[in-house]
Formats: sequence, C-alpha cells, structure tokens
Amino acid sequence: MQEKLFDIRGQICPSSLLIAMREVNANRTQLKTGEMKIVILTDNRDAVSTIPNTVTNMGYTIQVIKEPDHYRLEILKEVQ
Amino acid sequence: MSEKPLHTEEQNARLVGYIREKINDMLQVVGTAAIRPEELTDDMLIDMDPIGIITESFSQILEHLRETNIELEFARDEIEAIFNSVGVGLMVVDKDLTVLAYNDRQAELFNYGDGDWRNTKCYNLNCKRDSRSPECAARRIFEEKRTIRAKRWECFDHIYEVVGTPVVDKEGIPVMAVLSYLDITERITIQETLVRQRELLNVTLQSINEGVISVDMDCHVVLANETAQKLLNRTEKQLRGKSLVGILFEEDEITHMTGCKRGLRGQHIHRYQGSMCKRLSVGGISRLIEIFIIPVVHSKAEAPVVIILKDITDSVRMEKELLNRQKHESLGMLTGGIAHDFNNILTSVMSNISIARLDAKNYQTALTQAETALSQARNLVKQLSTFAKGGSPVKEVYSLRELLEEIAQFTLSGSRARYTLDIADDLWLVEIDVTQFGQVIHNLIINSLQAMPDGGNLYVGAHNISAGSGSRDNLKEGKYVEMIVRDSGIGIPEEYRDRIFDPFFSTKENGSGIGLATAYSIIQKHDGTIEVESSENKGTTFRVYIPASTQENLYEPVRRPAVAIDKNASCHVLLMDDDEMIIRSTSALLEMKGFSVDTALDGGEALHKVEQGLEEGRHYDLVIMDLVVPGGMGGVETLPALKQIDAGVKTIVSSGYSHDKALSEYREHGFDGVAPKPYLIEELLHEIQRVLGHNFT
Repeated sequence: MQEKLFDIRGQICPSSLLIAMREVNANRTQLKTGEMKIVILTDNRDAVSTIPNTVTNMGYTIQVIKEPDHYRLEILKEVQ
Repeated sequence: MSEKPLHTEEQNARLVGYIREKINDMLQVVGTAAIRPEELTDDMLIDMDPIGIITESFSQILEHLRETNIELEFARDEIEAIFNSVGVGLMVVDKDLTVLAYNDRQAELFNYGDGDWRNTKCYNLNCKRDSRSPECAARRIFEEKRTIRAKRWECFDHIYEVVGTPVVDKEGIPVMAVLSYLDITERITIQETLVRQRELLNVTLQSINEGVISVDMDCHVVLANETAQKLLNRTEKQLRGKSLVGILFEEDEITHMTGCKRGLRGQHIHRYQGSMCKRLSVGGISRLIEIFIIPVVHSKAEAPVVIILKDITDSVRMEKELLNRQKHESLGMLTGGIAHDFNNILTSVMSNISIARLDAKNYQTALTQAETALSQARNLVKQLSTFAKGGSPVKEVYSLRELLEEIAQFTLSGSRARYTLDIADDLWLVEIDVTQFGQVIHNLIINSLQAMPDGGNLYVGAHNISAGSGSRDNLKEGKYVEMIVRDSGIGIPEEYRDRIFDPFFSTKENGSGIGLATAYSIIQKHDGTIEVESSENKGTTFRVYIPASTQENLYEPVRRPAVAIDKNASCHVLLMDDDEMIIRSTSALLEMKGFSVDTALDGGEALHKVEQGLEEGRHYDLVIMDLVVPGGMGGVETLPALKQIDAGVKTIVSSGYSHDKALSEYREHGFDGVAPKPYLIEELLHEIQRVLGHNFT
C-alpha cells in the first residue's frame, strides 16, 4: 500500500485541517480503493480532534497514534 | 466609454475580509477554530484555495451521509422484518406502559385484529384491565431497572413466558422496555399431560396385583412395582440397579430366559419369551409364582425385558377345589343314577322273591326273573367299575368273531335297523376281558341304533390290520384287529365330536353319558384306540383298534360248556369270605351242586380249618378266598401260609374289587383261578372246573 506522508508539525489547527482535507480530496480514489493511506504528523492538539471528526464524517477511517513528541494520524479507506 | 476603476485597497480589504469570514464560518461547521491572518496570508487565500478544499470535503461528507442513510434505511427494513418474523410476540412500551410498537406475532397472540393499537396502554390491550396489575412484568422493569423474566404468566387460557428488557437513556434510566411473549400453552399442556399420564401409569403399576419388573441389558432392575417388591421381600431401593440373579433366577437361567447376558450389550440377542413357575417364600409363606418374561420390542428401550410375577397359589388351590367340587357333582349324578337303577332292580328282586314265597306253583318263573334282574345289577356294577382307578381288565385270549356275533344278535333283536356282519375268516385273536369288551360292542351298537330311531343300515365288521412303516400313523407298529361299527344315522355335530367320550356328556334326552365313556375307558385299558368319523345326517363310523394276540388263531372258540353236576364228585371246598350272606348263599349253591363245603370268615380261620382238616385226614381240594377282609387276613396274605400247610391245594381268588391287580394278574399272585363278584353259579362252577381240571359230567 502506498503511503503519503505529510509532516505538518509546527502548524496550528485550521491550516493543519485544511491540509489534511486537501490531501484527502486529492487522493480520494486511491484511498477508497485501499491502494493508499495518508499519514499526517502533527503536534497540534486541536488538530487531533478536528481532523478525525472531519475525515470520519467524510466516510474514512482514521487511527490516532501517540508518538513521543507528536501524533501520527493514519487515514485509510472508507469504512465498509 | 469610461473603464471601471480597479479595486481600491479599501475594496480589496473588504473582499479579503469577506472571504476570511466565510472560510471561518465553514471551518466552524467542521468544528475548528478561525484562521488567523499570520497562518494564512491574503495571497495564500487564493493559492491554497481553502473554499475549494472545504467545498469538496463537504461534497464528500454529504455523499457519505447519503450512503449512510441508505444503509440505515435498509437496516431499519431488516430490523422490521426480523421484528415481525420472530416466533415470539414483541412489544415496546414507554415508562407509562403506553404501547410504542408491536410485531405481527404479538397481534396474533393477543388477537389485536386489524387496527393500530399503538398509543394505548398495554394493560388495556393485553390484560383487558383498567389499571396495571401489581405483578406486571413491564412495570417491574422500570421499578427494578433490570431485565425481568416471568416463566409462567397466564392470560386468558394461554400461558406465556415473558422477558422484559429495559432500554436506558444516557444516564442509565429506563425510558422504554422491550417485552417478548412466548406462547408456551402447548408445551405446558403436553408437559402436564405427560406428568398426569406418568402418575396414572405409576398408580396403575403400583396398584395391580401382579409384580412388574423391568430389567436392563445386564438384567439389573430398572423398575419394580409394589407387588414385585412384596413378592421378592425387598424394598425398591434394595432392588433398583441390582441383578435378579440370586433373587429370582439362577445364573444359568438368566441367559436363556432374558437374553440379558453380560457383555452382549449392543449385539444381537436372542429374545426369549415364555413363562415358568417357581416357589418363593413371601413373608415366610411359600407361594407359587408364575413368572412371565416379555421382551420389549423397541430398539431404544431402556429396559429390554419386562418380567411379570403372578401369585397363582390361590387360583391353583381354587382350581383344585373347583375340580373336586365337579368331581363330587359328577359322583352325585352317578350315585343318584345308580341308586335309581338299583332300586328298580331291588324292587323287581323283592317282588319276585315274595311271589316265590307265596306262590308255590310259579316260584321257578319268579326266581328266574329275580335272577335276571340281578344280572342287570351285575352289569351295571361292571360298567361302573371300568371307571375305577386302574380297573385292569381280566384278559384272556379270545376271538372277536364269537363275541360280535353273540352281542350283535342280542342287541339288535327287535330293532328296525338292517344290519350286516362282516368278519374276516382269518381274524386274529385278541387278549380281552370278554365281559368288558362285550360291553364296548354293546355300547357302540346301542349308540348307533339310537342314532337311527327310524331304522337304517348298520354295519359291524372286524378285520386284520398291520400298522407301521408309513401306514396308520395313529397306531404304533404292530398287528391289530380293527372293529368297525357304522350307522346311517343323524351323525354327531362337529362341536360335540371332541366331547362324546367325556363321562356324563350326552346329547340324548335320556342318555346317561356313560356308554361311550365306558367304551373309551375299556379300549384304553386294552392298549387300543377308538376313532370316530361322522357327517351330519349321513352317519357315524366308530373304528376300534385292539392289538392282536401273539397266539395263533386256531379258531377254536372257547365255548363254555354247560356245567353238569355230578353229585358223586364230592370235592372238598373251603369258602372264605367275611360276608356271611355270601357264605350262606354260595355254600348253599355249591352244596346243591354236590360239593362238600366248609366256611371261614377270614384267612386265620381258613388256615386253622385246613390245618385241622389235614390232622383229621381231610384234604381240601379247593379254597375260595375273598381278597379283602376288613380287620382280618385277606386272600393275598393268607396264600403263602396256606401253601406251606398244603402245597397241593388249589385256590380261587374272589372279590368285588374288580380293579385289583390280584384279580387281573391272579396267576402272578399265586392263585389258580379268579371269580370276580358278583358271579352266577354257572360261572363259578366253570372256573372251579377249570382249576380242578375235573369234568363234572
């Protein structure tokens, strides 16, 4: 599976969310077929709740993994 | 044309402000904070295109919602289908017990009929009550905030198992309850019926008078009713699971009786069915028990054999008593008949003696008539004595020709029947008691004549028959004389054919039922058989088979010569009898015939007289001895001593006990002759003549 990594550490929420939304929009086909997952590294706490809420509403699955100094968000294909 | 002026800075600032405001509004919708200007420069507003990003994301969100809605709709339909298709009634109520939903089965169970009953109170709808009942399961769900299970709830002839589950809100407070109703009426009814049947079966089993035991494959007791416990002197606890070996059966009996041999489990077992009798000690008293063994023909039977114990002690005793009573009744009938016949005979004898005493002229005729009457009495006694136990015939080698001719002629005199006598010339001799066998012929002919009251054809025949090697299966191998008496009379109905030889059985109004029974008894005692063949209104044939004698037939009938009296013969005869009447009459008759007669009342006196006679130089030619002398020595006891005193003396044994072996086998008992009582003087003289070898002529 292809993995697209975005390190947006240092950015705060709204722009983090916008980046996440932009990448999901751009790769929706590959995401939905399960060929790709998008990984976002962020250190903004707000983004850890806003990104999962939004991509879940858009119909994707998201895993939030706590790393030592940041969060790793993995966005996968839609929930069947 | 004047060109529109370019945006002023002020206008640009207003536009950027507007875009930022709307972007922030949109970001708020997705739940994040507003974008600060340092995060996103004015130029970036266009380059990054947040509105485009958010719009596209919205379109994805909407698409996802639409898909979710379709799924939800499908799920709702699915749930509704499940809701309606389950076998239990389902009802949803709120905390006021207002019905929110119910399924088809629920409507069916409680007869809701058509119509929507939502928003009615469940106690109105189901229980037909105005208010909730105190033990209402639905109410308890909200009160006790837990699942309530009512295993048996009865409502209008139906029994339900009810399970109520609360539906709680975020705070865990029940707001709704889902109730399921399972109709268990049929199950409960079946269960109750089974219980009742079991009780009934148990009560029946325990109350019957026979012992019932079920045993398993190892012949261990599965069940034993009260009677069985009583008969085996053991409680149910002492029997259950125990082997019947040592209790009811022996080890070797068990295998073939019940087929319950250890180790044969699962294999084919020969099943025995039968019964046996055993004596068991029941409460210290010996009882006769009939044991029936009945295999249970069912592959899954827990107890493959049922054993029935039946105490037959009383019924066997009762049967014996009944048989005795029947015997007594028969005896009563018989003795009544005898008394009647004897009274007639005695009347005739007494009248004739009176005539002889009063009328000197006709005394000869009167006495002859008295004698005739007495010979009837004698015949009657002879007929009856053949029924006596062991009544052995006094046999002699004889030809049936003479007997048949004599008796047929006598019996048929004056009858309307035409008769044919067909006797083989070379007819073998037979060993018969002439008097008894004469009776057989007489009875058979009389029977045939009675079957032809208006006359008919009677055939009497006698032939030689060889039985064995395939022919005459009913007879043992050997030579026989076959005697046939055939009539053309009314025949014997089939239902009576088996009974005609039973004593006292008669279809004739005045029949005694003795004739054929006597014939049967006599033939049996001659080792013979009698067969009957009959068809209604055509006639009856009796066939009698008597073993032929090994003695050759010289066909020289033993004619009994008339005894002439030589008054000079002067034989010395000692007559011993305990009956003074017989002593008087017989000695008088013998003296009349020229004998010199002394008498003795028992064996002791007889021996004394013989001894005394020898001392005085007087020898007795003949001693006639009574067989039984009550309280004294009889003939058999006297004989050895008599022979010791006078080895040459001839003896004749005499008795009214015609069945005694000493009479039928008088030679084996050491006597020279026999004189069964009653006898005519001619018969006695004939025997004396035979014994002494004298010819009195």
